[in-house]
Amino acid sequence: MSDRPLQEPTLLLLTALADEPRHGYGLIQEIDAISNGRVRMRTGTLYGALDRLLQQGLIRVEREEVVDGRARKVYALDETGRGVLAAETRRLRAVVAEAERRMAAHSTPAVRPKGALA
Amino acid sequence: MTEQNPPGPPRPPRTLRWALRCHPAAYRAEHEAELSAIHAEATRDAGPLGRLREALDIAGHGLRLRTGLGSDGTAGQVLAHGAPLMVAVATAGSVANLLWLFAPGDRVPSSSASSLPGLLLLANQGVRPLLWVVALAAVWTGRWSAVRALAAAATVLRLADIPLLGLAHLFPGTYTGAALNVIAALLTGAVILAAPRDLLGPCRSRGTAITGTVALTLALWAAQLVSAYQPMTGGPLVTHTFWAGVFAVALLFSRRDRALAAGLTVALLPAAVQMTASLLYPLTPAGLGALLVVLVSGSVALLRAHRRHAARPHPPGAA
Repeated sequence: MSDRPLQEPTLLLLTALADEPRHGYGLIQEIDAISNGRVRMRTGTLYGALDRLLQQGLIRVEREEVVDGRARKVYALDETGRGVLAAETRRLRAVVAEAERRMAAHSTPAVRPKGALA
Repeated sequence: MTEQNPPGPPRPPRTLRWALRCHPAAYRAEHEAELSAIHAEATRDAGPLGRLREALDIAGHGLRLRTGLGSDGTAGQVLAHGAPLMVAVATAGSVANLLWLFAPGDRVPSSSASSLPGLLLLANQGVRPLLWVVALAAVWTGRWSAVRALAAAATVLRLADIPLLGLAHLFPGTYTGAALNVIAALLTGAVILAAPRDLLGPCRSRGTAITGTVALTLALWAAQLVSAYQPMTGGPLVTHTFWAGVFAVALLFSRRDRALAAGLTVALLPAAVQMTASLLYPLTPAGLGALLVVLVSGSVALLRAHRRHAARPHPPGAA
C-alpha cells in the first residue's frame, strides 16, 4: 500500500462502494451525496479513476446489466480496496482525534493553583 | 410484413459522439454504450454549458487513453505530481516579470503607453500574475476545474504577447526568444490540462513543497530578469548555470519516490529550457557542463528512487 494519503476523488469513490456495489451514474450521485454536493465527478474523470482502481485491483466489475436498452457495469469494492479504505479511515480518525484533543486543551481554561503568581 | 427491431438505445447527441471519437477504437467498442448511458443520466437536467463540460471531460479521458496519460499509467501519475508545482512555477514567473517591469528604471518604452497594442501588452503583464495567483489558491483548495480554466486563460494571454510585441513594434528582433516563450507557455498549459483529474485534490499537505517552489522560482526569475538589464559579473552564464544547478538540486532532493522526482522535473522543465537554451545552442562549454549536471543528477535521482522502490514490498498502491 502506498504511504501517501488517498486523493479525495479516490477516497470518495472507495467510500461510495463500501456498502454496496454501484453502477457508474450511481457512483456519481453517491459521491455528490457523500461530499454534500461539493464534489461533482464528471463521467470522464470517473472512468479514469475506475480504470486505475480496476488495474490496481482495488475494485472489480461485479456484473453487467442492461437497463432501458443501455448496457452498464456494476462495480464493487475488492478485498484489497476494502483494506486500503480501512487504512485511510484509521489515518483520518487519528488525525481527527488529535485535532479534537488539541482544541479541547485550548478551550479548557488553565486551572491555576491557589497562591500562584500571575 | 415488416420485421421490427427491438428499440435500441437512443443515438448519442453530437457533442458526445465527437467526444467518444477521442477514445481508442477498442475502448470505445467496449465502453461506448456505458459512457453514453452515464452521460445521458448525468446531463438530464443540464443546460448546453453543462452538457459541453461533460462532453469535454469525456473527450479528455479519451485523449489521455490515446496518449498514455491516464491515471493508471506512470506518465499520468507524473503529470499529477507535476501540475501543482507547475502552477507554483508559473505564478512565481509571472509575478517576477511584473515586478521587474514596474521596478525603477526605464524598461517600459514610452511609445508602448501611447499605442493600443502597447497598452494591451502592459495590461497583459498585469492580468497574468492575477490569474496565476488565483490558480495557486485554487490548487491549495483542490478546485481543479478553476485551476484548468485559469491556466488555459493565462496560457492564451502569454501567447498573445508575441503578436502584441510585433504590433507595438517592440519585437526583440530574434525569433529564438519568442519561440522559447511559446514552447514554455504551451508546455505549462499542457501539463496542467493533461494531469488526470482523479489524481488531483487539495494540496494543503504539500504546502511546503509548493511554497518552497514559489519562493525559489521567484528568486531565480528575479535574478534572471535583473541580470538582463544590469549585467552581473559573468553575465547570463551565472544565472543560466544557477538554473541548471537548482534543477539538479531539486532532482537530487526529491527523495520520496520516482513519480515525485519526475513530476518536479516536469514542473521545472519549461522554465529551465527557456533559461538554459541559449547555453545549449550553439553548445558552449558552460552549456555542456550545465547539461551534464542536469543529466547526472536526474539519473542519480531516478536510480535512487528505483532502488528504494525495488527494496520496498509493494501491494497495490492507491493515489
